[in-house]
Amino acid sequence: MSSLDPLIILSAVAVVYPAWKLVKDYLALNRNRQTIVESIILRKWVKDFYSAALCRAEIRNKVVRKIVISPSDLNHFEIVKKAYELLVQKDLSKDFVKAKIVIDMNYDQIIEHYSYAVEAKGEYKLWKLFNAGLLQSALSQRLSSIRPADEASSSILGLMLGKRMQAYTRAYGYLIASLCAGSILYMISNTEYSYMLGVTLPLVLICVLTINQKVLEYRINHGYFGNNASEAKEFIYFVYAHSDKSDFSDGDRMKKLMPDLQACPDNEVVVYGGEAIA
Amino acid sequence: MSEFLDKLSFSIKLATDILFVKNPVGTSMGVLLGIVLDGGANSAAPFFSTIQTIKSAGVGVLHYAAFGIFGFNLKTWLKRDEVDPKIKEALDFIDAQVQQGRLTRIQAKSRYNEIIAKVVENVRLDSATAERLNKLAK
Repeated sequence: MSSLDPLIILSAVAVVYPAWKLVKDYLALNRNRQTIVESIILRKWVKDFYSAALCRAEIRNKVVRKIVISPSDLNHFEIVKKAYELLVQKDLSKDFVKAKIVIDMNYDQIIEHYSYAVEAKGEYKLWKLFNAGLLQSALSQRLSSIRPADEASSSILGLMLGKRMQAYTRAYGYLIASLCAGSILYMISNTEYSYMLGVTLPLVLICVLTINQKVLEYRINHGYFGNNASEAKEFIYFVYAHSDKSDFSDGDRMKKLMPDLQACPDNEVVVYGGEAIA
Repeated sequence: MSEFLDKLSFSIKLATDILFVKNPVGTSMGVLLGIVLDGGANSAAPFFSTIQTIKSAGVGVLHYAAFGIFGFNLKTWLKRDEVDPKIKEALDFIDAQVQQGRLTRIQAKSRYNEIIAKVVENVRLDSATAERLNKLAK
């Protein structure tokens, strides 16, 4: 077999890209720890400020607007810094530090909570490695949705992403298993070509899976996700799949969207002063 | 430019979703099954060669994997369900408006969100999901 076999080149590419992405995202998730923790506390503050309307106008103008406009950027230390300064002015910094310590202690749980990935079991850590990038997207999506209307749609998105993350993890698991099976068969066999394909195929599929994740992240980060009919349908399928099957409403698992219009009788009779006009 | 990127990323997502998102476990298990079957068939090749009617040499790992993927996805494909026609009509209407340039993508997104919110409001979620949604809403 020559060294420039296309299958070998393909395998090499298919190894390097997913590995690079997984490691990069996982490191980023841990590196952004401080920012994420501070953003979470900040979001809590901001939400409180939203509800307590009056004297918080200053913070709302300076901080909230920034967060709402540039939500996807978790590396945004400036927002946090500015908010912290404002909090110091308002003598709230002590509470901020206290909250930071609490959240820092439960960082993993907080990440699970805020990215809705609560389905994964605590001891089963692999999912965090495989979905680090998506976790960050989900987090920033969640942290940036402060208005109640945004939050409602982002919570369904979050649940959907949680399910997807679970599925991605299992898919990675099976593909890695088939990669192992393929390479073992390749090593113990004498016919080379077919088993080389058995190694390359899982690698290429892992690469495709990674690209799928990356594109999804991109669409979420840039706010494209959900802006066409087929993605809206995806949401609706998800809601259907998680609806209660045994209900007693109208059938179709739906309550009525609106009451049925009552049919107008054909010959409506309007009575004016005792005189009937057909 | 951003619209182009939007469409490009959507096409890539759509193409790769078909394999993985509808049934990611099925597809990847199909690959695993294919490779295992291929290994099994090759190690049992001396046995098959005694039966003249089966010619197993022409079947490669790709065929087995394709068979596995197809087999595992067949069930989901058969069980696919359709959206309520009323909702489908509404979604298609918005899509048509975007095509005609009467709505921007961002406006369309908020319309879709309205429909989704309506569906969520009107569908009774099963207890586990509803519970999680409530817990997470805090």
